[in-house]
Amino acid sequence: MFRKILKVRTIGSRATRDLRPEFSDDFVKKYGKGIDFSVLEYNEEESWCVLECSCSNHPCLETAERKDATDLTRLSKDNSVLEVVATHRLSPKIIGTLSTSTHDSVNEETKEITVKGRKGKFLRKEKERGTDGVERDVYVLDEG
Amino acid sequence: MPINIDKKKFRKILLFEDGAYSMLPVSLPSYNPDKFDWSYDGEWIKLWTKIGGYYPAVRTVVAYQGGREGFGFLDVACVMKAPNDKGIYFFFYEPQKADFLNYQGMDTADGTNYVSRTKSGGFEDKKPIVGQNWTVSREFRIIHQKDRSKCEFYIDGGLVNYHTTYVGEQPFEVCCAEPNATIREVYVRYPRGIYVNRV
Repeated sequence: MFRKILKVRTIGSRATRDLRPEFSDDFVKKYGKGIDFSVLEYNEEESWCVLECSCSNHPCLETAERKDATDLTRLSKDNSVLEVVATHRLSPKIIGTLSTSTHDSVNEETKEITVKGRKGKFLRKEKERGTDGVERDVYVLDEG
Repeated sequence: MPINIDKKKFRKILLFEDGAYSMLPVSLPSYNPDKFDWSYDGEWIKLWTKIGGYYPAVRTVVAYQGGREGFGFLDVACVMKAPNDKGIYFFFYEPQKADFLNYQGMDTADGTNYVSRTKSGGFEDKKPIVGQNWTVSREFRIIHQKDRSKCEFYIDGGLVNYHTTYVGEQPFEVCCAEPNATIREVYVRYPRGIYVNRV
Protein backbone atom coordinates (compact mmCIF):
# COMPACT_ATOMS: atom_id res chain seq x y z
CA MET A 1 0.00 0.00 0.00
CA PHE A 2 1.34 3.44 -0.95
CA ARG A 3 0.35 6.48 1.08
CA LYS A 4 0.95 10.23 1.18
CA ILE A 5 -0.32 13.04 3.42
CA LEU A 6 -1.43 16.26 1.73
CA LYS A 7 -2.69 19.65 2.87
CA VAL A 8 -5.45 20.58 0.44
CA ARG A 9 -7.82 23.51 -0.12
CA THR A 10 -11.47 22.82 0.76
CA ILE A 11 -14.81 23.97 -0.62
CA GLY A 12 -18.28 23.95 0.94
CA SER A 13 -19.03 24.13 4.65
CA ARG A 14 -20.43 22.07 7.49
CA ALA A 15 -23.42 24.46 7.57
CA THR A 16 -24.34 23.48 4.03
CA ARG A 17 -23.30 19.88 4.77
CA ASP A 18 -20.83 19.72 1.89
CA LEU A 19 -17.41 20.45 3.36
CA ARG A 20 -14.90 18.57 1.21
CA PRO A 21 -11.47 18.78 -0.41
CA GLU A 22 -11.57 20.94 -3.52
CA PHE A 23 -10.38 18.18 -5.83
CA SER A 24 -12.97 15.62 -4.72
CA ASP A 25 -15.60 16.54 -7.36
CA ASP A 26 -13.36 15.77 -10.35
CA PHE A 27 -11.02 13.39 -8.58
CA VAL A 28 -11.88 10.19 -10.48
CA LYS A 29 -12.03 12.04 -13.80
CA LYS A 30 -8.52 13.42 -13.27
CA TYR A 31 -6.78 10.56 -11.50
CA GLY A 32 -8.87 7.50 -12.34
CA LYS A 33 -10.06 4.85 -9.90
CA GLY A 34 -7.71 3.28 -7.38
CA ILE A 35 -6.72 6.21 -5.16
CA ASP A 36 -8.72 6.65 -1.94
CA PHE A 37 -8.31 9.22 0.79
CA SER A 38 -9.24 9.84 4.42
CA VAL A 39 -9.53 13.35 5.80
CA LEU A 40 -7.54 13.68 9.02
CA GLU A 41 -8.30 17.29 9.92
CA TYR A 42 -10.39 20.21 8.68
CA ASN A 43 -9.72 23.90 9.23
CA GLU A 44 -12.97 25.37 7.98
CA GLU A 45 -12.05 29.00 8.76
CA GLU A 46 -8.91 28.84 6.65
CA SER A 47 -10.47 26.50 4.06
CA TRP A 48 -7.94 23.71 4.16
CA CYS A 49 -7.80 20.13 5.30
CA VAL A 50 -5.13 17.50 5.80
CA LEU A 51 -5.90 14.19 4.17
CA GLU A 52 -4.04 10.96 3.65
CA CYS A 53 -4.37 9.27 0.29
CA SER A 54 -3.55 5.66 -0.39
CA CYS A 55 -3.43 3.22 -3.26
CA SER A 56 -2.23 -0.25 -4.13
CA ASN A 57 -0.76 -1.97 -7.18
CA HIS A 58 -1.75 -5.45 -6.05
CA PRO A 59 -2.04 -7.75 -9.09
CA CYS A 60 -5.51 -8.92 -8.04
CA LEU A 61 -6.87 -5.41 -8.62
CA GLU A 62 -8.20 -4.54 -12.06
CA THR A 63 -5.44 -3.00 -14.17
CA ALA A 64 -7.08 0.43 -14.21
CA GLU A 65 -7.30 0.45 -10.41
CA ARG A 66 -3.64 -0.37 -9.79
CA LYS A 67 -1.88 2.78 -8.67
CA ASP A 68 1.52 3.40 -7.11
CA ALA A 69 3.81 6.10 -5.72
CA THR A 70 4.09 7.77 -9.13
CA ASP A 71 0.34 8.38 -9.17
CA LEU A 72 0.43 9.85 -5.66
CA THR A 73 3.27 12.16 -6.70
CA ARG A 74 1.16 13.30 -9.65
CA LEU A 75 -1.76 13.89 -7.30
CA SER A 76 0.45 15.93 -4.97
CA LYS A 77 1.01 18.41 -7.85
CA ASP A 78 -2.73 19.13 -8.17
CA ASN A 79 -3.56 22.85 -8.12
CA SER A 80 -5.57 22.51 -4.91
CA VAL A 81 -2.71 20.89 -2.96
CA LEU A 82 -1.05 23.41 -0.65
CA GLU A 83 1.78 21.21 0.58
CA VAL A 84 2.92 17.66 1.11
CA VAL A 85 2.97 16.90 4.84
CA ALA A 86 5.51 14.49 6.31
CA THR A 87 3.44 13.28 9.27
CA HIS A 88 0.20 14.03 11.11
CA ARG A 89 -0.82 13.24 14.66
CA LEU A 90 -4.01 11.50 13.46
CA SER A 91 -2.40 9.49 10.70
CA PRO A 92 -3.50 5.91 11.39
CA LYS A 93 -1.12 3.01 11.49
CA ILE A 94 -3.17 1.33 8.76
CA ILE A 95 -4.76 3.65 6.20
CA GLY A 96 -6.39 0.99 4.08
CA THR A 97 -7.08 -2.71 3.74
CA LEU A 98 -8.00 -4.56 0.56
CA SER A 99 -9.43 -8.02 1.06
CA THR A 100 -11.66 -10.61 -0.50
CA SER A 101 -13.96 -13.35 0.66
CA THR A 102 -14.44 -14.73 -2.86
CA HIS A 103 -11.81 -16.26 -5.12
CA ASP A 104 -11.26 -18.63 -8.02
CA SER A 105 -8.64 -20.63 -6.13
CA VAL A 106 -6.38 -20.26 -3.13
CA ASN A 107 -3.21 -21.98 -1.94
CA GLU A 108 -2.77 -21.34 1.76
CA GLU A 109 0.73 -22.84 1.87
CA THR A 110 2.21 -20.55 -0.76
CA LYS A 111 -0.24 -17.74 0.13
CA GLU A 112 -1.29 -17.42 -3.50
CA ILE A 113 -4.80 -16.47 -4.49
CA THR A 114 -6.51 -16.12 -7.86
CA VAL A 115 -9.49 -13.79 -8.26
CA LYS A 116 -11.27 -13.21 -11.57
CA GLY A 117 -8.33 -14.84 -13.32
CA ARG A 118 -5.76 -12.55 -11.70
CA LYS A 119 -3.15 -14.22 -9.53
CA GLY A 120 -1.40 -12.64 -6.55
CA LYS A 121 -0.23 -13.13 -2.98
CA PHE A 122 -2.32 -12.57 0.12
CA LEU A 123 -0.98 -11.42 3.49
CA ARG A 124 -3.13 -13.44 5.87
CA LYS A 125 -6.49 -15.10 6.37
CA GLU A 126 -9.05 -13.77 8.85
CA LYS A 127 -12.51 -14.71 10.02
CA GLU A 128 -15.26 -12.15 9.53
CA ARG A 129 -18.92 -11.99 10.47
CA GLY A 130 -21.01 -9.37 8.68
CA THR A 131 -24.55 -8.00 8.73
CA ASP A 132 -25.80 -11.40 7.61
CA GLY A 133 -24.38 -13.18 10.66
CA VAL A 134 -22.44 -15.61 8.46
CA GLU A 135 -18.83 -16.25 9.42
CA ARG A 136 -16.55 -16.48 6.40
CA ASP A 137 -12.86 -16.54 5.54
CA VAL A 138 -11.42 -13.26 4.36
CA TYR A 139 -8.07 -13.04 2.59
CA VAL A 140 -6.22 -9.76 3.12
CA LEU A 141 -4.60 -8.82 -0.19
CA ASP A 142 -2.88 -5.59 0.77
CA GLU A 143 -2.69 -3.40 3.85
CA GLY A 144 -0.60 -0.51 5.07
CA MET B 1 -63.55 7.49 -14.50
CA PRO B 2 -60.24 9.38 -14.63
CA ILE B 3 -58.66 10.23 -11.31
CA ASN B 4 -56.87 13.53 -11.07
CA ILE B 5 -53.79 13.29 -8.88
CA ASP B 6 -51.78 16.30 -7.80
CA LYS B 7 -48.35 14.75 -8.33
CA LYS B 8 -46.51 17.32 -6.22
CA LYS B 9 -48.90 16.80 -3.33
CA PHE B 10 -48.78 13.04 -3.75
CA ARG B 11 -44.96 13.08 -3.73
CA LYS B 12 -44.97 15.30 -0.64
CA ILE B 13 -47.18 12.83 1.21
CA LEU B 14 -45.42 9.73 -0.11
CA LEU B 15 -41.90 10.92 0.65
CA PHE B 16 -42.67 13.03 3.75
CA GLU B 17 -40.89 16.00 2.19
CA ASP B 18 -39.43 18.47 4.62
CA GLY B 19 -37.77 21.46 2.99
CA ALA B 20 -34.56 20.26 1.39
CA TYR B 21 -35.06 16.66 2.52
CA SER B 22 -37.31 13.78 1.63
CA MET B 23 -37.91 11.27 4.37
CA LEU B 24 -37.97 7.73 3.08
CA PRO B 25 -40.54 5.25 4.35
CA VAL B 26 -38.78 3.00 6.84
CA SER B 27 -39.53 -0.23 8.63
CA LEU B 28 -38.63 -1.16 12.17
CA PRO B 29 -37.68 -4.66 13.32
CA SER B 30 -40.60 -7.07 13.58
CA TYR B 31 -42.24 -7.21 17.01
CA ASN B 32 -40.22 -9.68 19.01
CA PRO B 33 -40.11 -8.42 22.62
CA ASP B 34 -38.15 -11.38 23.95
CA LYS B 35 -35.22 -10.58 21.68
CA PHE B 36 -35.38 -6.90 20.78
CA ASP B 37 -37.74 -3.98 21.21
CA TRP B 38 -38.18 -0.35 20.28
CA SER B 39 -39.86 2.78 21.60
CA TYR B 40 -40.37 6.39 20.48
CA ASP B 41 -40.27 9.56 22.63
CA GLY B 42 -41.24 12.06 19.92
CA GLU B 43 -37.66 12.76 18.88
CA TRP B 44 -35.71 9.53 18.99
CA ILE B 45 -36.55 5.97 18.04
CA LYS B 46 -34.80 3.81 20.59
CA LEU B 47 -33.95 0.23 19.66
CA TRP B 48 -32.49 -2.21 22.07
CA THR B 49 -31.50 -5.82 21.85
CA LYS B 50 -32.14 -8.05 24.86
CA ILE B 51 -30.07 -11.03 23.79
CA GLY B 52 -27.21 -11.41 21.35
CA GLY B 53 -27.24 -13.07 17.96
CA TYR B 54 -29.83 -10.87 16.26
CA TYR B 55 -29.41 -8.21 13.60
CA PRO B 56 -32.39 -5.81 13.81
CA ALA B 57 -32.06 -2.46 12.02
CA VAL B 58 -34.08 0.54 10.92
CA ARG B 59 -34.26 0.24 7.13
CA THR B 60 -36.03 1.51 4.07
CA VAL B 61 -38.82 -0.69 2.84
CA VAL B 62 -37.57 -0.71 -0.76
CA ALA B 63 -34.25 -0.31 -2.58
CA TYR B 64 -33.27 2.99 -4.21
CA GLN B 65 -30.90 4.06 -6.92
CA GLY B 66 -29.57 7.26 -8.46
CA GLY B 67 -30.50 8.27 -11.96
CA ARG B 68 -34.04 9.34 -11.23
CA GLU B 69 -34.75 12.99 -11.96
CA GLY B 70 -31.34 13.29 -13.58
CA PHE B 71 -29.24 12.47 -10.51
CA GLY B 72 -26.44 9.97 -11.04
CA PHE B 73 -25.96 9.25 -7.37
CA LEU B 74 -27.72 8.02 -4.27
CA ASP B 75 -27.40 10.56 -1.45
CA VAL B 76 -29.05 9.44 1.78
CA ALA B 77 -28.43 10.29 5.45
CA CYS B 78 -29.63 9.74 9.00
CA VAL B 79 -28.88 11.08 12.47
CA MET B 80 -28.20 8.54 15.18
CA LYS B 81 -26.46 8.08 18.48
CA ALA B 82 -25.22 4.99 20.22
CA PRO B 83 -23.96 5.23 23.78
CA ASN B 84 -21.17 2.70 24.14
CA ASP B 85 -21.13 2.50 20.38
CA LYS B 86 -18.41 -0.06 19.79
CA GLY B 87 -19.69 -2.88 17.64
CA ILE B 88 -22.33 -0.98 15.68
CA TYR B 89 -23.19 -0.84 12.00
CA PHE B 90 -24.06 2.86 12.01
CA PHE B 91 -25.33 3.53 8.52
CA PHE B 92 -25.06 1.44 5.39
CA TYR B 93 -26.38 0.51 1.97
CA GLU B 94 -26.96 -3.09 0.88
CA PRO B 95 -28.79 -4.40 -2.21
CA GLN B 96 -31.06 -6.06 0.32
CA LYS B 97 -30.68 -6.37 4.07
CA ALA B 98 -27.94 -8.86 5.01
CA ASP B 99 -26.23 -8.88 1.59
CA PHE B 100 -22.92 -8.18 3.31
CA LEU B 101 -20.90 -9.09 0.21
CA ASN B 102 -22.11 -5.84 -1.36
CA TYR B 103 -22.18 -3.59 1.72
CA GLN B 104 -21.26 0.13 1.57
CA GLY B 105 -21.25 1.73 4.97
CA MET B 106 -19.75 3.03 8.20
CA ASP B 107 -19.33 0.80 11.22
CA THR B 108 -17.27 -0.27 14.17
CA ALA B 109 -18.20 -3.90 13.73
CA ASP B 110 -14.93 -5.36 15.00
CA GLY B 111 -15.51 -3.60 18.31
CA THR B 112 -12.34 -1.53 18.05
CA ASN B 113 -11.96 0.43 14.83
CA TYR B 114 -14.26 2.98 13.19
CA VAL B 115 -14.18 2.28 9.47
CA SER B 116 -15.87 2.88 6.15
CA ARG B 117 -16.13 0.03 3.67
CA THR B 118 -17.12 -0.48 0.10
CA LYS B 119 -17.70 -4.06 -0.99
CA SER B 120 -18.46 -5.56 -4.37
CA GLY B 121 -19.12 -9.27 -4.71
CA GLY B 122 -17.06 -10.06 -1.61
CA PHE B 123 -14.09 -7.81 -2.47
CA GLU B 124 -13.61 -5.14 0.18
CA ASP B 125 -11.91 -1.75 0.49
CA LYS B 126 -11.76 -0.69 4.16
CA LYS B 127 -10.48 2.61 5.53
CA PRO B 128 -10.34 4.01 9.07
CA ILE B 129 -12.45 7.04 10.03
CA VAL B 130 -10.37 9.38 12.17
CA GLY B 131 -10.74 12.65 14.05
CA GLN B 132 -14.39 12.25 15.11
CA ASN B 133 -16.15 12.88 18.39
CA TRP B 134 -17.97 9.58 18.82
CA THR B 135 -19.68 10.48 22.12
CA VAL B 136 -22.44 12.65 20.60
CA SER B 137 -25.24 12.14 18.09
CA ARG B 138 -24.10 12.69 14.52
CA GLU B 139 -25.32 12.72 10.97
CA PHE B 140 -24.09 9.91 8.73
CA ARG B 141 -24.38 10.43 4.99
CA ILE B 142 -23.28 8.35 2.01
CA ILE B 143 -23.10 9.66 -1.54
CA HIS B 144 -22.82 6.68 -3.85
CA GLN B 145 -22.17 7.21 -7.56
CA LYS B 146 -24.34 5.08 -9.79
CA ASP B 147 -21.50 4.41 -12.23
CA ARG B 148 -19.52 2.93 -9.28
CA SER B 149 -16.69 5.41 -9.78
CA LYS B 150 -16.73 6.56 -6.16
CA CYS B 151 -18.47 6.38 -2.81
CA GLU B 152 -18.20 9.34 -0.41
CA PHE B 153 -18.74 9.07 3.33
CA TYR B 154 -19.75 12.20 5.28
CA ILE B 155 -20.11 12.75 9.02
CA ASP B 156 -21.72 15.95 10.32
CA GLY B 157 -21.45 17.73 6.99
CA GLY B 158 -17.79 16.98 6.31
CA LEU B 159 -16.35 14.40 3.90
CA VAL B 160 -14.38 11.86 5.93
CA ASN B 161 -13.55 9.04 3.53
CA TYR B 162 -13.50 8.74 -0.25
CA HIS B 163 -13.46 5.29 -1.88
CA THR B 164 -12.85 4.47 -5.52
CA THR B 165 -12.10 0.74 -5.22
CA TYR B 166 -14.61 -2.12 -4.99
CA VAL B 167 -17.62 0.21 -5.11
CA GLY B 168 -20.80 -1.88 -5.27
CA GLU B 169 -23.74 -1.69 -7.62
CA GLN B 170 -27.03 0.11 -7.00
CA PRO B 171 -29.93 -0.19 -6.15
CA PHE B 172 -29.61 -0.33 -2.38
CA GLU B 173 -31.77 -0.62 0.67
CA VAL B 174 -30.64 1.88 3.28
CA CYS B 175 -30.17 0.65 6.85
CA CYS B 176 -28.99 2.13 10.13
CA ALA B 177 -28.51 1.34 13.80
CA GLU B 178 -27.72 -2.34 13.61
CA PRO B 179 -26.23 -3.61 16.88
CA ASN B 180 -24.15 -6.38 15.27
CA ALA B 181 -25.67 -9.25 17.23
CA THR B 182 -24.73 -7.75 20.60
CA ILE B 183 -26.84 -6.42 23.50
CA ARG B 184 -27.07 -2.62 23.32
CA GLU B 185 -29.19 0.49 22.74
CA VAL B 186 -29.16 2.65 19.64
CA TYR B 187 -31.15 5.77 18.79
CA VAL B 188 -32.30 7.17 15.44
CA ARG B 189 -33.67 10.71 15.24
CA TYR B 190 -37.20 10.77 13.83
CA PRO B 191 -38.17 12.82 11.95
CA ARG B 192 -36.25 12.82 9.61
CA GLY B 193 -35.36 9.16 10.05
CA ILE B 194 -33.62 8.06 6.86
CA TYR B 195 -33.76 10.87 4.32
CA VAL B 196 -32.70 11.81 0.81
CA ASN B 197 -30.85 15.07 0.28
CA ARG B 198 -32.54 17.09 -2.44
CA VAL B 199 -30.04 19.96 -2.63
